Amino acid sequence: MKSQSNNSSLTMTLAACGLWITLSGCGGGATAATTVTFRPSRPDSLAAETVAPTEATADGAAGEPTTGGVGTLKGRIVLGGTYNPLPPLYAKSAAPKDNDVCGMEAAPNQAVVVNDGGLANVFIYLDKLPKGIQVPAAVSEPVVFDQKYCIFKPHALVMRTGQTVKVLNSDPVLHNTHTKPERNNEFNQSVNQTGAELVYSRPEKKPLAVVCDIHPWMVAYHLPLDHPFATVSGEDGTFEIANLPSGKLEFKLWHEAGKELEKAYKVDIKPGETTTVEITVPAAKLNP
Amino acid sequence: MQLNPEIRTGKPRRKLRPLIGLGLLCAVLGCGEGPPAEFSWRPSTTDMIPAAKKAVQEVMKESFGTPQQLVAWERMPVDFGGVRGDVAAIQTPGEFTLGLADPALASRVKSGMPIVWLTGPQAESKGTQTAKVESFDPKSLLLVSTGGEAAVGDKLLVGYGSQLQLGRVVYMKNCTHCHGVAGDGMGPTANYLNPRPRDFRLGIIKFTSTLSAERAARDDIHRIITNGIPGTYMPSFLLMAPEEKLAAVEYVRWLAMRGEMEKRLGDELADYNEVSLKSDIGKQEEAYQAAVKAGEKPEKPMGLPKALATSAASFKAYQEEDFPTIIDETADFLAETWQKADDPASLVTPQQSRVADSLESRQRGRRLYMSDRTKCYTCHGPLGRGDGGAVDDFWPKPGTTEKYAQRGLHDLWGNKLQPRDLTKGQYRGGRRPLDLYRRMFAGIKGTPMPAFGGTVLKDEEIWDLVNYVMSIPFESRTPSKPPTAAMASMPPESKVDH
Amino acid sequence: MGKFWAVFFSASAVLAVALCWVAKDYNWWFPYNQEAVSTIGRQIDDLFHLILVIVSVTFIGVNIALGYVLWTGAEAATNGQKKALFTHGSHALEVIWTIVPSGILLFIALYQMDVWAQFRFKSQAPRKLDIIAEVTARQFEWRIRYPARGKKLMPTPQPDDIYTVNDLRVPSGLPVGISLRTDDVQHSFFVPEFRIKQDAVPKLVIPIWFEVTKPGDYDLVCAELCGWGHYKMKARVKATSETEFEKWRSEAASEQFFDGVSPEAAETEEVAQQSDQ
Repeated sequence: MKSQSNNSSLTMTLAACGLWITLSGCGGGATAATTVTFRPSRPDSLAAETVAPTEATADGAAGEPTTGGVGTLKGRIVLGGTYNPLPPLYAKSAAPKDNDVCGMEAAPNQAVVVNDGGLANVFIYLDKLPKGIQVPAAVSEPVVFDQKYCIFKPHALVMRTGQTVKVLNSDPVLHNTHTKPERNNEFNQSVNQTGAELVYSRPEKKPLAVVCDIHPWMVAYHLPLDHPFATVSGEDGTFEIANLPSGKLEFKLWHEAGKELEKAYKVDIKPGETTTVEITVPAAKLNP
Repeated sequence: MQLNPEIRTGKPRRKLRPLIGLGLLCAVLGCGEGPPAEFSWRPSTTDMIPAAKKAVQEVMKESFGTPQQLVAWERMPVDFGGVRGDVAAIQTPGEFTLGLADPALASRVKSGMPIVWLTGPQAESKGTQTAKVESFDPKSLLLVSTGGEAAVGDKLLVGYGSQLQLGRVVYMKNCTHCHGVAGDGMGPTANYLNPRPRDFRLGIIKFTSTLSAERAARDDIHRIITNGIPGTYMPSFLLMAPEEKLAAVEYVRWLAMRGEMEKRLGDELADYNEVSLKSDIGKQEEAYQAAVKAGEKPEKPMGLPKALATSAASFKAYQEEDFPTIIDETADFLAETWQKADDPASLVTPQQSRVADSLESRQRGRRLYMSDRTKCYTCHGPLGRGDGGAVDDFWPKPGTTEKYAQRGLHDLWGNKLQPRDLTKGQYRGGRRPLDLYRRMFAGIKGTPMPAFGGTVLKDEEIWDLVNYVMSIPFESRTPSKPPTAAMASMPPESKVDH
Repeated sequence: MGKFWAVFFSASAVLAVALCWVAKDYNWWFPYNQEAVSTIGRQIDDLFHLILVIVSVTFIGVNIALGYVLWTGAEAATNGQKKALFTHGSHALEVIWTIVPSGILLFIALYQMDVWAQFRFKSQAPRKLDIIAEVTARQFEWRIRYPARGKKLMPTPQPDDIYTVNDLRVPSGLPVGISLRTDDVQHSFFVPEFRIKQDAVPKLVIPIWFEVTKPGDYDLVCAELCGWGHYKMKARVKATSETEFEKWRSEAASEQFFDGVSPEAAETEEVAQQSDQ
């Protein structure tokens, strides 16, 4: 009968599709076939037994004195436009935590510090070393990074990679110094009077923040580099970098409120001379 | 019974048939194996300008591969399985003595493993399998291969990458649905879980036995896989075969290294982020329009197309000059850091045994807990309930002055984190006194739990705290009174540090 | 056509009986072991076999009758000669085939009562019962808490309790009990080789007892659908002699209270790790 045959053909189609749906779910997924390709550690390491990674040397053999002598860069960072001083983070004796220690002084808002029109805490540094530069050896003395009355001192710090940063705590309360670097490993250690030691192994591209996990308003900035051609502008915006290799150099300027202020500030350093500059940073660039 | 005449004539059935057919067709078309798994990309990678994105994705593909075509990059400190050796001496064609750097590795060679020639006459097919191991004698190191000539000194790989492949299978079967294919913690079930599964791509694992600046050791990952994490959805894989667990450990480490590499490359190329470039251009345009309205004569800003072109040109220069060095430096840093994690010097081991768990020790621990030397109570609360004052504050995001939208503490992955409720007696990183010691000595990576060992607390003080913390679940307490009458009369430790 | 169906249905029945006959040789019988490994399991197996016999007799008898009726009916249909039999039912037959099955069922019900009572009623469980652990089912694992050596299991956690996950150790050769709870949803404590199964219900603490007859490793699986991970909610049950069990308990305790330094603890940790696999 017609309806019967239609029914049975429908049944057959249903059965076939059901079988296909069931079987198509098999295989694949976790147990899918994979291949694994060997990639040698270094492109040329197949030939040699062990290849030590070659030290990144600058062009020009080490030991050659820099051609052309050294010069000094001196100057001042000036804030252009109007500036309203920022109110302190908290007033004296009004600290949100540990008031008997942190409240000894009002905590200044160091996001923008301007004295006599000069902008403080600006990092001026060479990002890329020109070719053929001999980098002076690192200083073996440690650099001090302290915290008193729940404020990091200094607020902005430059150091060399491999140089010991002595993290001190001049407060009778616990501070927990926590760095947030990009290239280096994080340092997160509770610090008491004895202090702790911090060493950066890699240079950073831009300054990194250092905070305290116990007192949320505390912040400072570190910039570890593998050369000494960097500094931080002082309270009144002045700065000086000595022993710069002569030639055309490009400096980066970084400030915590405006981040990258200047990507490549060009300066021509003459040997034996001091180049003085005045850099104006428009107030609009700073977003504290 | 009156039959419905419609049914008898079959008219509705005829109308239904094409619909049924269509439905079946759709169902059948939707079935099948599905698309192959892919590693997800970080937003920092996908938001780059096209040239930069392509460069980063190519580097990642060359160095780590895809889930189907894995790349065993020798530079990474991952135990890929198998051995790398050379031909020490030839017995007969097809049989030779395998020269290994470390004879103890001989046990890893098994019959059936693929052989890949790196140098020598068969190395044209470099990187692909040419023969198999027919038999291998671990004592004499005699290897019989299924074919091919070899010369003395030829380098070969035997079964290299086999453990990585096994780890991949184990991971895909057991871990992907929560941790995701790339270990990004965004698998299909992740949305239903609180706390969320771990995102390995920061290279950080919370519960470790290593110092606070080091990565997790292999043992830590193995322990977590074996024991699970109580209080979370990480189950215990105690019953998994040991070789599968070891393979999974290596695969997780490999995924973590891969994720970290992608993150670090993204950080290095932050200047080439298209999204932030577009928003900067937008801001410049707005400022320009505002200045024009104000009647000034400002400089016309660079438009978006020009900005993108400049960025692309600048990236091209960067790619030729600096990028290869950056890739090398990043890879070396990763390799060194992960290698260091398994160094005995990175392991946190107490210098003295646990102080006896007496009432005096617990009282000392309690005083420390409430003191300003440790400030435990500011997060964990005066009664250990995880309700200290810190959970009410707004904390800044790392590296910025911007604050999190929600009150309370956050971890490195951006999740809101409640300090542990110590009254529950549930210790996620392990309940041995040694585990609690390690949490206090080295902190918990990726969280606000700081490291106290070596600087602030001496060993016996940490043990006192451990004794106190382990006694908290068994204290009877009322909300207003501190745990015991004896402790009520004790003043908290003075602020002056000894 | 009719004869084909008669043969078809009878052949299926014959095939079913034949397969059951050879099942044990092909390992198509009880999982892993042919014999239950606990005392109550043996009793349950006996019940199973009894019911199997009763049901087989019934099955064979009914299928013979069915086959006969189909065959003769088919023959009659093809011949086309036999006249249809009109019947109004038989009261006697209906009474017989109601009372006999009821009688059989009643027999089974009464016969199994004591096994049920032994497992489910505290008063019928063995007097000397050692509650060795509290098993908490959780999505998707089994968390187990043992009292310290020489102590009794307390309803609330004690400072010296020993904790494991997915690893239930029991002494064999004596009746032991566990307290079953659940942390979230319903699960079911099912050890197939002991033939015991008990649902874990939220907010209840349910006692289970069993006596393992043969030391060995057995599976504990979840038998109540509890979520997406129900299929892999498995633990291992390790039944050992009582001395081994106590030894393990001491080792587990020293491992759990390991402080990273004490040498005795380190040694036992190593030993414990080896025996772990």
